Amino acid sequence: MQQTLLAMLALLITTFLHFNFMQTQVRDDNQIYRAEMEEMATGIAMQTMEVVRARAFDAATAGVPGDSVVDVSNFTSSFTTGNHCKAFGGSDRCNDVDDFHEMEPIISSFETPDIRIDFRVEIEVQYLDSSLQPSASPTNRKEVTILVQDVHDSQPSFLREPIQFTETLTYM
Amino acid sequence: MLFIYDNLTAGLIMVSVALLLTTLQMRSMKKSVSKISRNVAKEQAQSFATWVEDDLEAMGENMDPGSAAPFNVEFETPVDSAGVTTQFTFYRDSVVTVDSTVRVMIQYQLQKTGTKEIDGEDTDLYQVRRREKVGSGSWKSDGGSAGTLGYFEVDMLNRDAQPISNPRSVATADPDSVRSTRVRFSVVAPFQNQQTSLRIVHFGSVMLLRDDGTETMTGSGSGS
Repeated sequence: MQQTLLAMLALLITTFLHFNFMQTQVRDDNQIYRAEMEEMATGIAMQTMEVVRARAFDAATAGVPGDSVVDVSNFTSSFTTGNHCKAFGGSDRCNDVDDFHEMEPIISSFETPDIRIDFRVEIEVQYLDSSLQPSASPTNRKEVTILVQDVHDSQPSFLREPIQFTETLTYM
Repeated sequence: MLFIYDNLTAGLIMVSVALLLTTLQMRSMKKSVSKISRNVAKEQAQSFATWVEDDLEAMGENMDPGSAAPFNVEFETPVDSAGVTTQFTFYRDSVVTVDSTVRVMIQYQLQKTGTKEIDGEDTDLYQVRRREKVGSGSWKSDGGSAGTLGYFEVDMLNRDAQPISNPRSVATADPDSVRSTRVRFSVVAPFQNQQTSLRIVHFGSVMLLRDDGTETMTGSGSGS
């Protein structure tokens, strides 16, 4: 009886070890997929940032030649939200940086011949003061934050929270 | 015989335990091999990405944007075939003395290195070979990627980050219409087994080519 109990204990311990190994493997795999998603999401964020950066700094500076400087007091003080920008397949013109602030989220894909992963992209824009702290009034610095998270039809996102890619654009 | 009957239960359990431990050991070994393989692929991807980004960021360096087209266009249209970019040539100028520059031409050539079976399908493997030509000199081989690329694509993007099909002629007509360069590639893990969870590592990057010149705007950024 004692012998059988000891043998059962050995089996139990081994099964536990096996289960523990499998759990670690699942955790490692998730970590690997998450790192891969982060890499792709960063590529999407950089691409989105180039779309924003290609626009004028402010509505007041759009079309103004490079050798002219617009005074900060003319800059937009409150940003429009909810735009569906033309650059992302919508109908709103979005011709300056703050037009992308809290725009309608878009789905952007990372595509190669062997994969296609969809990412949900959101953009936030705010003014920064000379100490690079958020400012309620217009300044010549706008911080653009791109938030990117993977989306899948049949399973939850690998990224627990969106990656943040931030650039500060300065008007001189 | 009596001894066997006496210890039958213990014997069966011993065999089960031995089998479980052997399986565990084998899986652990395969997992280690796949981890090393993935790390190698990651390292190859990172190393390739670093020098490609450095190269592409220097595109158009010291070139006079005011010179007549097409001498102010810093790239040739990427040559694509079967979904990959097989050749991409771009330029920058090296400043020798005041008012004197030497054109540096850099070319990426994609060459097939073999095939590998991934998830039951044969996948072509490639290597990017980098060549450089300084002034009127001849093309010289100058580095390259590992021969395990599964995909390589260079696109020139417009202000909406959409690829332009013939960027050289578009930029000749209007230099500001080509805004940035996008490079995407994948690296196949060099050795794989049943425990390999990620057989291909993907990478994508976008680099600003030029400003539109309508206003002065600079940027600095970070990601997390």
